[in-house]
Amino acid sequence: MLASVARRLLSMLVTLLGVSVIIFLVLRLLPGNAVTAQMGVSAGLLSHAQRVALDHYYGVGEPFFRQYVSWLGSMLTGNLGVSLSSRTSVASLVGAALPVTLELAIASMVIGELIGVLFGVFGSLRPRGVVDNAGQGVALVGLGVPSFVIGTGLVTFLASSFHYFPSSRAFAGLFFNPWLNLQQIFFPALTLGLGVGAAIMRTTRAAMLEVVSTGFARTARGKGLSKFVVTWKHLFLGALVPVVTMSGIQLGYLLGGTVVVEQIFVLPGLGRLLVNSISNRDFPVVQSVTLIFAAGFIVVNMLTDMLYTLIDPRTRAR
Amino acid sequence: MKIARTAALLTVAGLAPLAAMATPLTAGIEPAQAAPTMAASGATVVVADTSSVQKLDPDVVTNFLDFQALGLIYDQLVQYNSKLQLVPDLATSWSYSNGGKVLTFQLRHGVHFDDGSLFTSADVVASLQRAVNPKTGDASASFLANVKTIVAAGPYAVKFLLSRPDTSVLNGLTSVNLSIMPTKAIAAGTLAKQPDGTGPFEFVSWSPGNSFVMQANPHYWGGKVKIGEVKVETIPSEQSIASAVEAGTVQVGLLTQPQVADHLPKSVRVDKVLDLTYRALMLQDRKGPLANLDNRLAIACAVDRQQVLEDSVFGQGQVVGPVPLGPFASKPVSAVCPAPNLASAKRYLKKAGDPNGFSFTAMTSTALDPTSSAQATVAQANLAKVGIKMHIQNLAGDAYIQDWLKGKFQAAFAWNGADPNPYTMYGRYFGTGANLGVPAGYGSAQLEKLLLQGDTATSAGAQRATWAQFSRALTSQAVWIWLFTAYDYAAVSPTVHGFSLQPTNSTSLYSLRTATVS
Amino acid sequence: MTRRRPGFLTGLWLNPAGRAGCVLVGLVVVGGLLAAVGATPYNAQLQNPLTTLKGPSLSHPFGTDQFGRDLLSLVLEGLWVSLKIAFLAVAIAGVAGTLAGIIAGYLGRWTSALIMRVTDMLFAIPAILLALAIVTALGPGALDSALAIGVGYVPIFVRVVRGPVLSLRTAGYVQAGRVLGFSSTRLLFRHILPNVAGTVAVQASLALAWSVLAEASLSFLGLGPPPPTASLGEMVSQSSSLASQAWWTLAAPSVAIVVAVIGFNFLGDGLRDVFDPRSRTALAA
Repeated sequence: MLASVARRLLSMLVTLLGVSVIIFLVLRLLPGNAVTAQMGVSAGLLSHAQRVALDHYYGVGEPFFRQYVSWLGSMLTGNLGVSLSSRTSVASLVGAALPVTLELAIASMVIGELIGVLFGVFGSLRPRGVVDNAGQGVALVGLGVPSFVIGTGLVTFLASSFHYFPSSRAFAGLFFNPWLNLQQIFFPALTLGLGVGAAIMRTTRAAMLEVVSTGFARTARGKGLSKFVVTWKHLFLGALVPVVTMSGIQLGYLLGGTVVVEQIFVLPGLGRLLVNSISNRDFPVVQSVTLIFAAGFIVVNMLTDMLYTLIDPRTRAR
Repeated sequence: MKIARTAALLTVAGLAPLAAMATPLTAGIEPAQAAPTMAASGATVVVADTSSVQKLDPDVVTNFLDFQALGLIYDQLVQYNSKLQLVPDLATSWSYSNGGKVLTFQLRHGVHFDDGSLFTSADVVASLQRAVNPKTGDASASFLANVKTIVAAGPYAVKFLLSRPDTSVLNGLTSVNLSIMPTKAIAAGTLAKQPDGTGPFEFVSWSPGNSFVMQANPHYWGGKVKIGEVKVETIPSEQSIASAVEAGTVQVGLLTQPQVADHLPKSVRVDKVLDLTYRALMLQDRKGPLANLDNRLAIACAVDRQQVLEDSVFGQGQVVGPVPLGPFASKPVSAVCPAPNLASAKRYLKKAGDPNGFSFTAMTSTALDPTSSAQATVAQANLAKVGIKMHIQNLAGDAYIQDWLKGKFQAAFAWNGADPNPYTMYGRYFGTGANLGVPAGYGSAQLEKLLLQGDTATSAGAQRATWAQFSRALTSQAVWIWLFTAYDYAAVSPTVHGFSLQPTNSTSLYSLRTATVS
Repeated sequence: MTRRRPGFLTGLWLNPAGRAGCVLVGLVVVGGLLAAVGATPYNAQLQNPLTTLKGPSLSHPFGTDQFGRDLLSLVLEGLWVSLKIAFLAVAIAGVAGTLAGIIAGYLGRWTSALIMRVTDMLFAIPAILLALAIVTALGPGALDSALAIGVGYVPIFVRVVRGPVLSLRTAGYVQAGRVLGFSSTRLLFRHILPNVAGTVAVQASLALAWSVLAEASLSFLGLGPPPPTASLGEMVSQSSSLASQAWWTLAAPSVAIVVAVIGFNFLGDGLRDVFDPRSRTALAA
C-alpha cells in the first residue's frame, strides 16, 4: 500500500512537471504582453525610458528557458511567484482564493450527491414511477442545461423577482459571517450541483438496478429485514463502487466548472483569479493557478482510486 | 459595461479581452488591514459597479473604477468643479511668472495625511518625482513633459520650472495618477498595499475582485464628512445592480446602459452626466483612398451621427465635435456638414475622382466598446448610400490595442478620453513629437502650431479663439470623424441626499464628501 | 461486423435514446443548415428600432433583442457557428486522439509510455481551462476556438481507443495476420481501425455535446468569435442585463444550446447501446 502510494506520488510529480511545461508553452503564444494588457492603448503614452523600465519589470522579451526556470524556482520556494499586476506573492492571492473554490466545490458535491443518490436510489426502487420520472427530468436538466445558463437564469430570477442578490454584498468568509457566506455559496453550488447530481443519479440508478437484478434483495427481504435496511445496507452498498468512481470523475470536472460559475456569481475564487489574470497577461498567476487546478485533478483521481480499493476488497488483489 | 480608461485621458480602454463579463481583477490580497484611526460613525454607503478595484497605487491605475475610488482617498494640486473649471485642491492658488515659464503654487496649510504626517511642499516634490520616474510607469507622466524641475519654495509653496509656457499642465495635474502622497510612504514603498492620502475618506480594506472599503477621514481639511463608510462592491450585471439599489442593499449603483437606467422604478433617483469621453471614427490619412481629403470629407458628410447615437446608445448622449465638453467645446460640432448631407458627400466624391465611391476597412472591438458594433453598422449603411463601402473588422481587445498602437488600420472606431483642455486631449496625437502620432494617422504644421499657440496663450480670449480655430482645422480636414459622447448613470437610493455624478473620472464620486444618508 | 451494419440505423432508431438523439440532432443540424444557406426568416443582423425587445409573436417566434433583431434568425446563425466549431473540434480531437491511441496500443512500450504520459498531462488540465488558455493565445476566430476545444478532448479519444487496440493486438486474427507477414499499416487500418470505429463514434457524439457546451462557455466568457458573428454563449451573457424585462432574450439562445447538447448526448447513448449492448450505463462525459 505504502509503496503504491509513493509510486503514485512520484508519477504525479512527473505529470505535474509536464503540465507546467505545457502551460508555459501555451502561454508563450499569447499575443501582446503584460504592459499593453494592463494599460491598453495608453501604453502608447509611455516614454521610451518608461517602456524599457516596465518591460524589464514584467520580464517582456526574456528568453523562454530563463523565464521557465525562474518560475519553477519560485514554485519550489513556496511563494509561487510574484503577481505582475498586484505586485504581491501569488501564494497570498491563492491563499485567499483557494478556500472559496474549495468551499464551492464541496458544497456542489454535497448538493450533487444528495440529488443524485436520493433520486437514483428511490427511482430505481420503482422504475418509471413518479420519483424515477422526476429524477430523469432533473438529470436531463442537469446534463443538458449548461451551468452558465442555469446560473444566469438564477441570478436574473432572484434579482428581479425577489430583489435578492446575495453577492451584492462583499463575499463573507465562512468563519467571518457563516450565514451570509452560506447564502452566497448556495446558489452557485446549486448551479454546479445539478450537473453533478444528474451524472451521479444516472450511475446510481443503473448500478442499483443491476444489484436488484441479482435477486439477493428479495432474499434479504425474505429473511425479514426491513425495507430501509435492505435498500441502504444491501442494495446501495452493493452499488457503491460505480457511484464513487462517478463522484470522483465529477469532482474533477467541477474544478473546471467553477471558473464559469465564479464569474457569474462574483465569487473571489481561483477560477475568477485565473480568468482575470489571463486578461491581464499576469503569467505567474496563470501558470501557478492552472498548475494548482491540475494538481487538484490528479489528487482527486488518486484518492478515488484509493477509495475504492478500500470499498471493494476485490480490487485490492489486483 | 464600463471600460478601463486611463488617466491619460486616452483612448479606448485600458483593455480586457474579457471585458464582456465585467472584468474585475486580481491583485494584492491581504484583506482588512485595520486603519489606524478611530472607528467611523455615520451610515454606510454601498457603491456598486460591474468592474472592481484592481490596483491601489494611484500612479499606475488605469481602470475607471480605480480612479473613482482612489479619487476619494487622494487629493491633487488642482481639481475640476462640476462646470469643468479648474479650482483649488491641495494648492490654494497658482500663478505664472517669468514669461509663463515659472508656475508657482501656494499650498494649503494644516492638512494631514491618513498616517498623521503633515502635508508640505516636500510631499508634492516627492510625489511628482515618483510619477516621472520611468520605473513607476505612470502614463500621466507625459502631462509633465514640459516641466524641467519642481522645487520647494518654503514649506507651503512649490515652483515648476517649465521649458516653455504651458497651461495644460494644470489640467494634467487633476489626474489621480498625479496624486499627492506622503514622502514617508513613498520611501517605504507601501503605497501599492496601503493607500495614504489627504482626501475625504481613508482606506480600510481591499479584497481584490470583490470589494474596497473606505471610512470617513476625521481630519479631512474640507469639513466634516457625514458618511461613515463607503464600500465599493462588484456586481457583475447592470440589471442586478439596479435590482440591488431597488432592494436597498446598494445605495449608489453605477450604470452605463440606458436600457437599464430607463427601467428603474420611480422610487430610485437616476442621476446622469455626460461622460468625459468621446467616440470617433479615427482615420489613417497617410495612404490609400483616405489620403484624399475629398474622400474623407465625403465620409464626414455621409455619416449620420445622430443616427449613430440613437442606435448605439438609444440616443442617450450628445453628438459632439473634437472638443466635446467644457469651455472650449467645439461649436458647431463640425465645420463641414454638421448635419448629414448626401448631396455634398457625392460632390466631394466626384471632386476626389471617385464618383462611384471607394472602399475601406474599419476596425472595432466590441470587447473594448460594446456599442462599437452598432456604431459601425449604422455608419456602414450611411456610407453605402453614396457608394462608399466600409468593411467592418471586429478584433479582440488585445489585437485591437496592438494594431491601434502601430497604426495598423485604415479606420478605427475608438472610445477616447476627453478633457476640457484641447491641448491635453490632442497634444499627444497632433502636437510636436506627439507620442501617439502614429495611431493619430495625420500630422500637419498647422495643427502643431495651433496646439502650441493654444497651450502657451495666457489670456482667456486668445485661448478661446485659438481652440475654435483648432476645432475648425480638425473637422475641415476631416482628420477623423467625431461622433458622440454618451451619458453615465447613477441609480441613487432615496435615502442618499446630495449625491450627484461629477463629469470627470477622478472626481465622479466626489459628492460623497458632502452627501448625507437619512 | 459486416453482418451488423445493415441493421445499425434501425437499431439506433429502435433505441429510445438513439431515436430522441436522432430527432434532436436532426433538428439542430437542419436549423444550422438553414442559416448556412441564408434561409433564416430575417437577416439576422438587421437592426430595426421599431421592434426592439418584442416578445415572441407570429412574426418573431423567439422575439427580438434590444436592437430589434429577430432572435430566431440570430439563434439559427449562432447554431451554425456552434456546429461548425464543434464538428471541427471533434474532427481534430478524433483524428489526433484515435491515431495516438492506436499507436499507443499497437507499438512498443516506449512509444506507448510516452504517449500515455503526455495524455495524462493533458488530461490533468481541466479541458475548459486548456481551451481558455489556448483561445486567448490564438485569438477568437472559429478555427482557433475549434483547436482550443479539440485539444482538450484528445486524451479521451486516446484512452478509449488504446484499450480495445491493446486487446485486439493479442487477438487471434491479428496474430495470424502478423504470422502471414502483413505489414503493420495494413493490420492497423484493415483489421484494427474498423474494430474501434464503434467506440470512436460513441465518443465522437459525446464529444460533440461537450464541444457545443465548451464553445458556448468560451463565448459566454467573451472569448468566442467576435460580433457580428452570432454566438449563442454571447447571447446568453448579453441577456443577463435584459432578461428580467425580456425573458426570451435568455430563453432563445438557451433552448438552442440545450437541444444541441441533449441531442448529441442522447445520440451518443443510443450509439453505445447499439454498438455495445452490454453496457447500458451511460456515463456522461
